[in-house]
Amino acid sequence: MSIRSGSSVVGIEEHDVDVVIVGSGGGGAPAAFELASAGLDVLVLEAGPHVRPEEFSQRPLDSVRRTYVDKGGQETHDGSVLVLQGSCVGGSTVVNGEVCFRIPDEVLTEWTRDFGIEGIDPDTMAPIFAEVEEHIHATDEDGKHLDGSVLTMPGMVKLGLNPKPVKRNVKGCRGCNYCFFGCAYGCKQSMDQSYLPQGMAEGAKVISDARVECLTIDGNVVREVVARTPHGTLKVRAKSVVLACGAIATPLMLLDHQLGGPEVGKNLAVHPICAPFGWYPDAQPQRSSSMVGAYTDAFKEEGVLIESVSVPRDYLAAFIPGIGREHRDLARNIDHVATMGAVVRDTGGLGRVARDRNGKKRITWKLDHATERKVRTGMRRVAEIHFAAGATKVTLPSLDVVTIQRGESLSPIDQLPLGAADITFVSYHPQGTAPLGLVTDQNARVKGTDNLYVMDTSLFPSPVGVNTQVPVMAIATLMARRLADQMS
Amino acid sequence: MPSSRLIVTAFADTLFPPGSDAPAGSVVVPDALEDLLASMDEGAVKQLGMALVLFEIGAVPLHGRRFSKLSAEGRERYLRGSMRSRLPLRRAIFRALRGLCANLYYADARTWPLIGYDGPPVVDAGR
Repeated sequence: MSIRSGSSVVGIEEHDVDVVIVGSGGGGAPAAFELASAGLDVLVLEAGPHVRPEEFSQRPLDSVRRTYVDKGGQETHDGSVLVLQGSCVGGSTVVNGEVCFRIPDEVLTEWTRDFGIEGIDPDTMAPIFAEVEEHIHATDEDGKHLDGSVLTMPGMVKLGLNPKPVKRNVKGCRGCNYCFFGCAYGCKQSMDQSYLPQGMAEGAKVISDARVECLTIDGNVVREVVARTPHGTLKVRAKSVVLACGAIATPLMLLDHQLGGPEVGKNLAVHPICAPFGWYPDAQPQRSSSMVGAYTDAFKEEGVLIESVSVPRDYLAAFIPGIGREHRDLARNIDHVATMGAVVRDTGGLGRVARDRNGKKRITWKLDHATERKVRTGMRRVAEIHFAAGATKVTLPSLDVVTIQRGESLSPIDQLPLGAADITFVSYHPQGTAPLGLVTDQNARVKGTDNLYVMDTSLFPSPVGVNTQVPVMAIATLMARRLADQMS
Repeated sequence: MPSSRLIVTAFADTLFPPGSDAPAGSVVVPDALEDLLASMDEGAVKQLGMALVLFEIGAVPLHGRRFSKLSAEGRERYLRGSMRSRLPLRRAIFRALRGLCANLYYADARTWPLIGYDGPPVVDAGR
């Protein structure tokens, strides 16, 4: 049993299944496993290609072009946030940093209290998170590659921030740090290595290179899903249809079919990440490391999570600021750079996914005061850790070279312009564009429909504040079980 | 209007001027970009072409000449001005072009000596 390529579809091919799932990432794959385990006939359609570990070259640009949405160029319309998502079998789980956090209890409580979501309290979710972690082998023992944190971790310790190694879903990780560009060794337990084969063992089928373009709707019922393949067309009739295309493509699918009501696509949160660089003249970072190593959640109250990050230097170099000789002098010293990312829990709903007048995808996102404060706090905390760890200077994540020398005031952080295209915000965690209880009912069924469901990060009523893969797998598991109960 | 390639060449050389331990941007970027464009859809290619033209003619009101006709010093001044501009569109265009050029530049093995990079380890992993 293997994943079938859509290239093998010639002409029109028809299928009749219990459930068709659109998308094979952190939402679709666990849903497929759960529904197939319940004895249902499940077909997963993935728009992207199936890229096997041995096909990953560790050449960042090649990988980004092959496996990322829009070849890695997906950004907000004003260029303020680069929104990175995987587009391949396994979705973003193939190109993420394997970071495994559960949804914090206070966020689950907020969803119950402020958004009226039922059956999602910490006690209900804890065993589901434990199951997810087992499926994907989330561990802090296998990933002993903290070398990338060797410079920054002492700073966290010195400041009393209680750094811990992140849990990661890996088996036999070698610490090559090319995680963002696909694991060439198959160590990362992304969906293509975990939930999808587990679901296929239960009878689920997966077809890659099959881009769903149209839902055939009859009253309140989605009768058929139509997907374009390289040489043909798939027509899939299903009793239930699950959208798991991620927080950008799922709302677009709903908008294109006038489904889900006026709130579809609004409420986008991105978790903007910014990463001031620390420069450590006396220390040389190790060449072997996991991509994400140590983290501190000491600033959770301030809406900031700080993670040590280590990326291949051919990728890192492009983020070194400045132009001309100034840039080159910095790039030449890239050996002395250590990086930490401040993951900011933005205010929900600062962004929106829509179609513009020409029918093109349009993503917008605008900082509010509260989020701006968190971003500046995040940069400040990162700078403080760098200096406590012995960095002699910190450069800010702007295009221009903005340097703070050791001992100097951190005030340039407060003055740094944060308008469109001023600094480099990267988002790996788009979410919230078809929220539970608003666009869908409590069971993730799209309002106004009888058999269409959403099972991806679009469902999050407010931002989770942590890396989204385990959260989405757990929510998809919960919702898929409810669906299975209804269908059997 | 000069070709996109000419504008990209001028941009890449300003971003990465010739140096002793790394090739000039123009040695690497224009060919790599052509290769990339071949795989991109028409809309994206058009959009990039438009960004390049806007960047090229944007220099006229500020420096009296198109970007590619400026001296090396003039080009660098114009790039710096774009980076710090109050106009979001001007910054966004600069940011997009810079990101593209920088990624293409450092993806080329000829630039790796500058950053002390030995290349992907998978090659040595006996695969």
